[in-house]
Amino acid sequence: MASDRADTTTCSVSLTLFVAALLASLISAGLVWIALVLTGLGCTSDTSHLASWYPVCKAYERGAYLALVIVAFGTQVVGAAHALIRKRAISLLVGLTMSLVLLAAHFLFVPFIY
Amino acid sequence: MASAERANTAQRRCEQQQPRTVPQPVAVAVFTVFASLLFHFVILWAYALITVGEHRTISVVDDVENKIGIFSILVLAKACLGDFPLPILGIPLTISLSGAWLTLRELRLQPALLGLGIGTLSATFGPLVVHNIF
Repeated sequence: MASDRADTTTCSVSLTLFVAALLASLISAGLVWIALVLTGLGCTSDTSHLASWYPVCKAYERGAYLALVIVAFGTQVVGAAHALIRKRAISLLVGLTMSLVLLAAHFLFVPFIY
Repeated sequence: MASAERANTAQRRCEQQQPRTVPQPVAVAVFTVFASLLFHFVILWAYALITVGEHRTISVVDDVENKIGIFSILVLAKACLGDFPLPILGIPLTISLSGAWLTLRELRLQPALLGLGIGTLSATFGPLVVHNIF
């Protein structure tokens, strides 16, 4: 316990953890970007009037997926920041995992909410 | 007393750091800037919050006129986005137009993003196809 407290008082973080935090943020942003661009392109294609696309495009136009950016990407950023501040790599993994789960859940449930 | 010892221990650790470390304030600051840039990148490029104001002029309207049909809006969007510093793999992104003056043989209006549709449209064309899905 005392050693844990002492570890958190050191004034540097490992380069590996720092690079991992940057990479995790890049991966999370890339996944969110790909998901949104695919949705946007799908909603501007000729198939957007089909019933299968209707709820997705409706939610997209109403700005529902803006929440996806904030929630999914924000979760990962908070996890990475916590990992850098507390120097615990597990926070990085938890943040990235939660981000992926929220990304999937958002695309599954948002069309039926909005 | 114990806290002073802990502070001394921490100070000693700082002085005896291994070379492959980054100062924590620098790491947090760099990460914050990096995450903010990524956030704005995702917002601007994935959610297409870019709008064309009235002061913007479309310099490649002649090219747009030659490419009629379904891809008119996308080609126009790509032309407008060419001014931005980070064109992404040549992917035409859809943007919301506040005004457009076009002469097309056929115009298809795609669903506008974020409810920001075309506010003013002055066009001369034949058939008008509107995908009104909402």
